[in-house]
Formats: sequence, C-alpha cells, structure tokens
Amino acid sequence: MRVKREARRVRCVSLCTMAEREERRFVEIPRESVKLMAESAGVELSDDVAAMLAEDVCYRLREATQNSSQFLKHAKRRRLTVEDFNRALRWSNVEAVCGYGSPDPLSFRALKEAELYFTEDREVNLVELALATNIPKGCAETAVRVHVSYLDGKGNLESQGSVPSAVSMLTDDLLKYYQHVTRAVLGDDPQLMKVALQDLRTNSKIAALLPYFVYVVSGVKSVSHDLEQLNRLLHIVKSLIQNPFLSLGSYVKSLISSVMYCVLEPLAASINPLNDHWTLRDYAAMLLSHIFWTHGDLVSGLYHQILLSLQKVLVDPVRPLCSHYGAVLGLHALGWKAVECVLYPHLATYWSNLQAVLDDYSVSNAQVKADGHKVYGAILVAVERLLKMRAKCPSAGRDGACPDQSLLGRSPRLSPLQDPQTEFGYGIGGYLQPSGSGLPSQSPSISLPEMYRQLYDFFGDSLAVRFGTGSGPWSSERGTSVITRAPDVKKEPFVDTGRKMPQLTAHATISPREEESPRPEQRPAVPQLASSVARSRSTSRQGHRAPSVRDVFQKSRFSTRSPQFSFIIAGRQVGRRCQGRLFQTVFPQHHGPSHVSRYAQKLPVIGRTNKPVRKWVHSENSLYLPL
Amino acid sequence: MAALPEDANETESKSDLEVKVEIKVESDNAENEAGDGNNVNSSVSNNNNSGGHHANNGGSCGVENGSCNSQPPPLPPAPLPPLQVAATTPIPSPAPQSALPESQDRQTLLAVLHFLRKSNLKESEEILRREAGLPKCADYSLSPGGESEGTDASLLSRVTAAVGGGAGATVSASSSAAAAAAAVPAAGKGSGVSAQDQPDVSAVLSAYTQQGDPAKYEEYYSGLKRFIESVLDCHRAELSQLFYPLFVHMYLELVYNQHENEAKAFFEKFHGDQECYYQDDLRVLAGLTKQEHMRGNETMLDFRTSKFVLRISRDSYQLLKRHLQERQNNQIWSIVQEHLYIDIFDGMPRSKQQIDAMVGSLAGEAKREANKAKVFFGLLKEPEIELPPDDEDEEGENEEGKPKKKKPKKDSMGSKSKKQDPHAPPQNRIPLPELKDSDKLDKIMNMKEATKRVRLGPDCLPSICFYTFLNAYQGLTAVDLTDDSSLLAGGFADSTVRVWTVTPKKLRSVKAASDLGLIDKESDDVLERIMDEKTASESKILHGHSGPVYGTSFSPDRNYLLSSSEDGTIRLWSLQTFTCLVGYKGHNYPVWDTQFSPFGYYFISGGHDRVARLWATDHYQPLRIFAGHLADVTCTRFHPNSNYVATGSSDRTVRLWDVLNGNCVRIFTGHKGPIHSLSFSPNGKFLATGATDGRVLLWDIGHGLMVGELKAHTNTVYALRFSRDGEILASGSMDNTVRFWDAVKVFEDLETDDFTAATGHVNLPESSQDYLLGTYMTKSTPVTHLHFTRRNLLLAVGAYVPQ
Repeated sequence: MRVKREARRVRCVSLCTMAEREERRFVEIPRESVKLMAESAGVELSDDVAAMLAEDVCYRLREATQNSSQFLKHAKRRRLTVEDFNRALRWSNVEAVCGYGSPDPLSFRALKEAELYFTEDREVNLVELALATNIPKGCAETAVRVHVSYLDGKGNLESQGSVPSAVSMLTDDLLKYYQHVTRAVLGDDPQLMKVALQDLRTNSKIAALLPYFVYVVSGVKSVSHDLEQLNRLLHIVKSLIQNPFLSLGSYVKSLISSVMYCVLEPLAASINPLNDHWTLRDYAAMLLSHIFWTHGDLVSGLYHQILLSLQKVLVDPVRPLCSHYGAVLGLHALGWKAVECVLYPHLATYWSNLQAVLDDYSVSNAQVKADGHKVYGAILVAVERLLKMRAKCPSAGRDGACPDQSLLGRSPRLSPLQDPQTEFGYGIGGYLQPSGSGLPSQSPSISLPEMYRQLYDFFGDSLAVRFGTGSGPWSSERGTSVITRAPDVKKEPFVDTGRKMPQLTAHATISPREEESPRPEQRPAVPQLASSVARSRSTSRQGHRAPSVRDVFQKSRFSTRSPQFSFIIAGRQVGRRCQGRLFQTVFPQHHGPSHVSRYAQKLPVIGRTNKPVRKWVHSENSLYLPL
Repeated sequence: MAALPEDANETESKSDLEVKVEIKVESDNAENEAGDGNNVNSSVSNNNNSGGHHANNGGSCGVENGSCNSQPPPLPPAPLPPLQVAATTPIPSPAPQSALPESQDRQTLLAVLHFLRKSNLKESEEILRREAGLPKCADYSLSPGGESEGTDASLLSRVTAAVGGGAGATVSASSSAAAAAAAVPAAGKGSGVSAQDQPDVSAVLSAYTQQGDPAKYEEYYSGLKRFIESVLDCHRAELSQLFYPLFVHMYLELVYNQHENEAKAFFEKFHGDQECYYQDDLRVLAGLTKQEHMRGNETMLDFRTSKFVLRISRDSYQLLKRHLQERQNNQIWSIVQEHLYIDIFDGMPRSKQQIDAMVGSLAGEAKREANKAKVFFGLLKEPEIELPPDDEDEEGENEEGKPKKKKPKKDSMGSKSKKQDPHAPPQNRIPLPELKDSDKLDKIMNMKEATKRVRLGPDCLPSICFYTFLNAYQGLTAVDLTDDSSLLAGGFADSTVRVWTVTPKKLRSVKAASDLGLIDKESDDVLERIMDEKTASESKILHGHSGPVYGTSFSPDRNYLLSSSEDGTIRLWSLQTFTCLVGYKGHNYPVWDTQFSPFGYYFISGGHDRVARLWATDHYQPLRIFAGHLADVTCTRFHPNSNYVATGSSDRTVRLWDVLNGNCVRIFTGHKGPIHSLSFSPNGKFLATGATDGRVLLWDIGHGLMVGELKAHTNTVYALRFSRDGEILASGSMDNTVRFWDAVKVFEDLETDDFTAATGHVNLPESSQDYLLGTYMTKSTPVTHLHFTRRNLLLAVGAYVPQ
C-alpha cells in the first residue's frame, strides 16, 4: 500500500515538472526520487543505477505524454486530462494511474523537509457526505439544442439557447442581470425593487437564471432575523411564479420549502413582539396557496407532503404559537379540504392547549396570550370557511366519491389541480387523498351539522356562519335550538361555554356538558380520526341526541338527494345550480329532479354561478351563508 | 437463415468472440429480414471461390461472410465480385514496386523473420520463408506507389508493436498460429525477395553504424551551414531544406553510436536553426538520448527507414554536390546518399515561399512521380430514375399553381447526369450496390430539394443553424448528420453513441420478434406497423464500445450507423432495432475515423496502427489495407465517386488511395500539423484538408497540386464542408468559429500552366484574406462538424464548453 502511494507521489512529481516544461524543457525526475521508490520497494540502488533509471523513466514519461496528445486531439478538447495520459499508458502496456480522474485541477503541495511534492489527498468523511443536506445535483441530461445563429451570413439572431441546468455557466449578460436584480430587490431603494420585481415577472429570457434565483430565495434561512429581507425574498418568489415564461419544474419544491419556512418557522424576527411577523406569515401563506394552485401539478404528492409538514407542526405542542399560527394559515391556504382533514380532527386536542394559554391571565403570559389570540383568530377563519364550503358542497362531507364526481360534472376539461376558478378544496382533496397515509383520512360520516355543532362548541358565537334548519328534526331533538337565526343561537353559549371564547369561561361551570368540558387528560382519549371523533362525541353526549340527529338529518337527506346526484353529474349548469338546493331535505323525492331540470332549462347559461344560492337564502328550510 | 448463424458459430471458434455475440443478437433481432439470407449465402460461396487464392484468407473470408450476412439491405442482390480478384493480382497495377531498393526489402523481411523466431512462431516463420520465395504472395495489395519504404517501415513497426495484442486484421491472441499466418502475408506482401540468412532486427537499425568522428559532427554541420548561407539567394532557400533532415540524421547517428553528450551538445547548438514547423518532431527527438530509446520509438524508426524527400532544382543540386565533394565531406554526403531522396527537377529553383508551402510533413515532400498516376476524379453517371412518385407530386404542385416551372429544370438536370464525365471512372470500376426503391425515392427527394436550393456566393452566404450539445460532460468526440439532415449521431468519450432525431419524427425500434409475428404482412402500411410506438423517443443511446467513440457515420440509406472507437473496433448499428449488428475488428488500436461510402456497403476506417482499411458491411475482414502513412491515420473520407479514399495522418500528409487496386495515387504535403479534417468538393475535383495548424489547404486532385492555402483559424480545423454546389467552403474549428471561403475564387485565381503541372510548383497568394467571406463566432462551442443541407443551409455541430 505504502509503495503504491509512494509510486503515485513520484509520478505526481513528474507530472508536476511537466507542467513547467517551458523553463525546464523536459521532465526530469531526480535520482533521489528513484532511490526513494526503490527503497520503499525494498531495493537498494546505487547512484549510477538510480541515475540511469531516472533518465529512462523521464524518457518513458515523455513518450507517454507525447502519445497522450493524440488522444487529446481526437477527443477534440483543449486540455490534456489524466484520462488521455492513462490511455497512452494503457496502449503501451503500462498500468494506468488511478485516482486522478477528477476534472478539477490537482493542487500540489510541497513538503519542505522531505523535498517532496504530492497532490493534496484530503480524507473524505463518507458519513458526512452521505448525510449532507446539500446533495449534489445530478448531471443534467445530455441534450441537443438548435438555434439559428446567423441568417444569410448576418447577425446573431438570438443568443445560444439557455442551458437547462444549474451546472451550466451563465453568459455575462445574464450574470449582470442577475446581480442587478438581486441587488435591487434586496437593496434600499423601494422604487428600484419594484422595477426589478416587475421585470422578474415579465422577462422571458431568464430561464437560465431560475436556479440562481431559487437559490437566493432559499437564503430565507439565513435572514430569518430580518423581516424586511424575508419579505423581499418572498416577493421574488411571487414574481417568479407569475412569470409566464419560466417553467419552474422541480424548483417548485424548493420554492415551496422556502415559503413554508416563512410560514412555519419560529423566525428569529418573531422574538421581538414589535416585529410584525404575522403579516409575513400571512403573505407567505398566500404565496403558498398561490404556488400550489398554479404550479402544484408539477410535483406529484406535493399536497400530501405539505399537509404532512403542516400537521407535524400543528400537533407539536412544543412549537411556539406563531408556528401553529403559520400551520393553520397554511392549511387555510391549501383549501377547506385541508382544514377539514388536518385541522378539524386535531382541533379538540389543540383547543385544550390553546385554552390553557388563553386562560392564563398572568402578566408574564401576556405576550403568549396575545399570540394565542392570533392563533384563535386564524383557526376561526379557517373553520368558518370550512363550514361555508361544506355547506356549499355538502356532499363532499358525506360521500368520498362525491367531490370528484361533482367536480367532473362541473368542469370536465380541467384537471382538478389546474382549475384556478374552482374554489379551494374542490377536487384537490379527492385528488390526492388516495395517496395519503399518515394523514387522518377524511371521515365521510361527519355531517355538516355535527361539525357545526362541534365547532360551535368551541367558538360559540364567534362563528360567523350560521345554519338554520327551521323545522328540521335537529332543533326539536336537541331541545336547544341550533338554528341559524341569531336570537336562537343565544342559548347555545350556555351549553358549551367551556370551550368558547375566553371571556365566557366564567360560565363554564354551569355548562350542561360540563362533564365533557376540556380537561387535558381527557384529550388524548379523543381519537384522531375525524370519524371516530364524531362517533365518540356523539356517544359521550346525551346519548339519544346525536345518533338520532344523524339519522334523521342525514338519512332523509341522503335518500332524497341521491337521485338528484345522478342528475348533477349529467350537466355542468345543473350541477352548479344545484348547489343552492342541496339542503332542501324536506322536498319529496320526486320533486327534486324534475324541478331542477326544468329550472335549469330556464336559466341563462352564463354568469349564474351563485345566483341559485342567493335564491335560496331566504328559504325557511335552507341554510344560508351570511357572507 | 436458420442455418446460417449456426454455420457461423461453428467456424467462429477460430475467430473472435465478439463477433459471435453480435451474430446472436443479430439473428434474434432481425428475423424479419430473413429474406435476404439466401442472397447472402450465395455471395458467401462465391466469395470463397474467388477469394480462395490464398488458403488462409479464403477460409476466414467464408467465416466472416457467414457471420455478417444477416446484415441485410446494403448487400447488392448480385454477389459482389470481391475486390480480391483484382487485389490478388497486383502485378498489373502501375505501382512502381520495382523501384524498391532490394536490400531494404530484404532487411525488412529478415527483421520480420527474426521477430517470428523470437516469438516462437515457427510455423509462421516457415510459411513466410516459403512465401518469400514466391514472386508475389500478397492476398491484398498494400503497396502504395512510390512510398514503399514507408510501407515497410510502418509494417515493421506494426509487427513489432503487435507482440502483446496480436497483429494483423483478424488475429486474436488465442490463436497464435492464425495470428502469425495473418501477419505474415501482411508483412510479406510486396517484398518479392527470397529468404536469406541472419535475420536480425539490428540489421535494420544498423544503418547508422558509422565510422565518423563524433566530435566532428558539429564541424560538418556548421561547415555546410556556412556554405549554404554563402550561396546565391535563389539556391539558398532550396538548399536550406537540407538542414532539417541532416540535423536529424546526424543527431540520431550520434545517439545510436552512444555518443550521448555529443548528441546533446549537437542538438543544443543547432536545433534553433530548424524551421518552426518541425517543433513537434524536434521535441520527440530531444527526448531520445539513448540507443535503446530508438528501438521502441516508432516515429524515429520511420524516420530512419524511410527516405526524407527533398525537391531541389538541378542547379542547386549540382552546387551542393560540388561543395560536398570538394570538401571531402563524406559524412554528410553519405547521409544524403543513404537517407535522403533528392528529387531533382529542371528549371528555376523554387522560392522560399514556394518551398515553405509544400514542406512540413514527417518525411519531406512527396516525390513527383508519386502524384503522376491518373485519377478518375469525375462523378459517376447518375442512374436514371423513372419518376412516378415525382409526377404525382408535380400534379399536386400544378394544382397549387406553378405548372411548368419545374419540368424544364428537371430535364436539364437529367441530361446533365446522362453525359459521361471524361474524368469519371468506368461505371462499374468498383462494384456498387444496386439501388433499392427507397434509395430511388431518396434520390428523387434530393433532386426536388435541389431545385429549391439557395444559390450561394460571396453575396449570398448561407444561414447557419447550430446544434449545440449541452451537458456533454462525457465529452463529444464525433458527430455525423445524415445527408437529408434528419438524424444526428454523437460519439462520446464515455463509449456511448447517441442518436438524435432532429425532425419531429421520433426514433422507433422495430417490434420484438414475437410481436412481429402478429402483424398482417399483407397490409399496405406494414412498414409502419412493424415499428413499436412505445419505443418512440427523441434520442437513443447505443452501448457497446469500451472506449471513446472517435468516428461515426450514417449509411446513405439511414438504416445503419458506423462507429469507431478507441477499443479498436468499428461497430455497425442498426437504426431499425438500435442494436449492434457487427463488430469489425482489425485495427487492434484506436480507430480514429470511419466513413461510409457515398453508395453505402463499403466503408473506410483509419487508426493508430497507421493504416486505413476498406471494409464491406458483410465482410468482417477488410477488403483493402492502405498502408503507407508514417503515423496515425487520423481521418478518412470517400471520394464522391467511391473509387478513391483520402486519408489524413499525423505524419502531416494526405494520401489518396485507389479503392480498386489499393495503390496510393496522391500524396499531398504542406500541412504543418496532424490533419484532422478532409472534404471533397461535390464535383470530385478538389480536396480540402484542415489540420491542427489551423490552416486549410485545397488540392487539385487531377493535377496533384496544392491550389489554395486558407489561413485564418487559430486552432485545429475539425470540420470542413463544401456547399452543395461547391461555391463555398465552410470550415469549423476549435477556435469557436465557422468561416466561409470563396472556393470558386480560389480555383479561378489559380494559374495552372504546363510548367506548374509538370513541376508541381504553384504560386499561392501571400494572403488568403481575399477568400475569406465571413467569420462567425459561437459563444463557447468548438465546431466539430459541419453539414450543408440539401438546400444549402449550413448546420454546425459542437459541444458547449463551460468556461
């Protein structure tokens, strides 16, 4: 082993001297090197022999070098490589020199004491390499691009197309552009920043720079103390997304991870309460949804991944509240499906923690409490939309296949992910759900009223969404009215104050469902799956009520609705229209289809997406959406 | 068909394994082509009969045919009368072999015998001895006219070098007897000398055993130098040519006689006087300081065994002779006599400029008689093609409203091709494959395209389309485009060959055999049905070589692709199945270039073993071996009429070889560096060559003259191409530029009178700037290939090099 190393070193010496041919003209290997090698091989050489050997070695090396130039020329390269030299060696039946195949220049080091030159051969820590986060990018595919360089012998029409790889080098123009833009965006002049961002949004020739900008954006981690910079980086992201000439490809992932960082991480900037990191999170969450809805189809399984990471943050009680806030925002941004499938099942668990925070009136807790209110607000917004959307598309909640079908019926030409017009939540859940593992699977059995009731338990009157079931069995069974009319609702707070707004906590003790009031030790017992949540709840509550509610409310609806469903699928217009009518549970079965179809024929085709909804707003038997 | 591969396998045991594998692949993949088997079979037997002149060769010929013949269409339906018929009787060929110095030949032969004995190849030695007694024993004619010394030298070195790898064409190391048998005829060819005693390698080397006093060498040399500097200007330039060869030989003599220090001193003192274009050789020379070094150094071996050719006018020669005889300068005189060949001409001494234009090669200029042979440089008559499909098309165009414009044109073209070019070779001088229907269609397409061709000229330069290889980390080493510019092949240093389609039509493979059985063979679109849609892609990668791929070439019918590699093989790939069909072994050393004949079927290859070989796709041994270059054959090109091939070499010469008889018919000297690109003008009259010195030289093939020197490139010229009508020459180089040259002007400006034609002296204009029509830069992409589409759009290809 040692011998080989030595041999290598001597070879290195010779190669080294070869580089200095200009001065010395030829390789010269001192006889000392030869002797050293002989020694390491266990042979003693006399000076004469060593000198002769040295001379011969020099000659052979020269010969090999000359031969190697032939390989250089035929490889149509400019620089002689070790590879060329090895080929020459091989063809003259000499063992090749191994270990110097790297295209990078070899750095030589001199060891003064031993008068030895050798290439630096640093130890490589394989473990470190394997676990390193910056995994080297794979080689891009070899490709051929064609462009017209000169037309009729005149002029460069356009620059030689961009090289689709981060490995490529940039032309000077692009490099300049890159420097100017980054400087402008991250610099002090807001006007300049605007211009730069505007250009990023519209420039069609910056494809080659995309990896660089993505890299810049990934710098969020290093500036987490500076809200301003973070904000600007996010603006870059926004511009890149909006640029129609860029194909983000797999860079979407990188961008999303940068944005998620801003959404979720306890940024250094948020230590200071004066910093408005909330806005940043809002903005990042907005961006997240934007990226996701416009470019989400570029990466498969993205939705799932994002949900997982959001959920991870949400269920981690150790995380600061601002992280939770971000997670809720993120879920909200991903659509009501995400809220339903991640936030809603965890709400009960989470609520207790939040409650604890909000209940603590100590001064030291003031700041945390303020944060808690933020989270509370975010959750409230999220679940309100969830309720709203559930109401709009109730079938989604009850039948897993429904969203897809209704979606297909609505817009058959658009893939679920690409339909920007679609309300959040349409389709995407159904689209990615099958691949979901580790995520709570959406319960098909949670009915809207059930959900509403639970949420109302938590939020009470803070919930801006109201449902009414008029003469429905709901109110009658329940005894207390859950009806949407504002005055009616008033009773409800007394029922569930324990989980309501903090200011109402005083009433908690008199809540009729006191035994069920939030107690931390009970929380884990609540199953994570939404379906089981519902079930356990309903059983633990006043026994007779919930099941019967479900039965009546749902069954009747189901039976009456099913024929309508087949109809909905049949046509887009009809399907849309039906949204407003979905809750007409009391209608006799035979009324439904005929009525709808007749109605559909009468309506103009364009621009009536929401009208039917309005139409039913005042109906006694409907749910209405105040928003 | 079924019987054939078995046959091949049986006989294969003797030949290499590689081919056997190929056959299996082939027979698996190409079952649909079984129909061709019969034809091939007959050609095999025929071959055996005709080629059976030499027992050894005939035998292996049969084998190879068996192995390759599943190889379908390029085969002409009538068995191709192998060239061996002509080759086996090289006597009638005009090769001036009689001019060969007998002693030289004998020495070579002895050296070979010695080598054989040393390697324990008794049997072969005996064969050689026996063969040497015969007047002619060659199974393929190798001797180039006029350069036989060179041939011998390179052969010798080849045999010497073959100790490890096995020599000759088809030799595998395992069968030493076969190896020797193959090597012997190769070496023994052309040397009609009976075997003699004392075979000894040193006999060849001993040319240098000199009696002279080593200390006096410097004196001799400087004496001559003083003399040459004192003569009249007109003679000085001519006599200065002597410096370099004398310097080299004197130095080598010193080294050989082990006067190491004197040699060093001699070198130090005079190497500065030599012309700058000998720098490379001097560098090699400087490394040689010991006698034993000389033994293995092939370059020097060539230098000593081949005569350095000088062209000197009679007057100057007389002057020199008188001087040397007066001074009793025997040392120099004997070198002149022994190692130099002075080609004396009558007339005015040449100017320094004239000389500089022509010298520079490893072994001096070409002798005048080397370029005297008649060359049929004209084009073959275009076959007459009925135009039924064309008529249809014309009808279509008629409807579109340009009715009679095309007709007259077509007629004129037709008549043009009907006229027999006086310089053209007889139509059947070389047996060519018959045109298939698809070929005819292609020709029609070509003619149609030609009518839409842009007429280029100094005022109308072509547009350039650049195909840039991106992310070619593995190193792009070879490129080829099909004639119709539809496919692009790249050879890479990582041993792969990649084929791209550059049209929207995707590349598809033929379906697997089992699926092919299900196809309705009667249907009209059966050709479409056999393709497997699932395999459609823009590019395909061909794996098979085990070294960088240095040459690629598409067959004219676009069904095949050739690739030559560092691993010593040339491979034939099917572009229907994207598999390798045949591996042609023979070079045993890196094969630098390969090219299909413009008519398909034949191909030429050249490599590090200093020979170029002519092959036919259905023979796995070469049909011809063109030996004569003193160094690697770096590039090879077919003449448009397929009767000649041009080879460029790192000995800085270009040679033109006659395919029919294997003779070297032209030697072009003048390049100062290894030649890396060749291109024939479309009319076959001219040849353009580019070298590492960045210069492009133009040659008149008929007269054997240099007709132009184009200087502008600053780095190796790797690509040369004439426009379709020959008006413009495009050159592409490592210096990241494409340049256009006015070829018409170059050829017009040339004043060729009888004197120039007789002496080969041309006056080239000082500057070539007048001819340069344009320089076009790429950003950072060396230009490795150029191609004019049928409409005269220039396609350039190169790999982007990140700085």
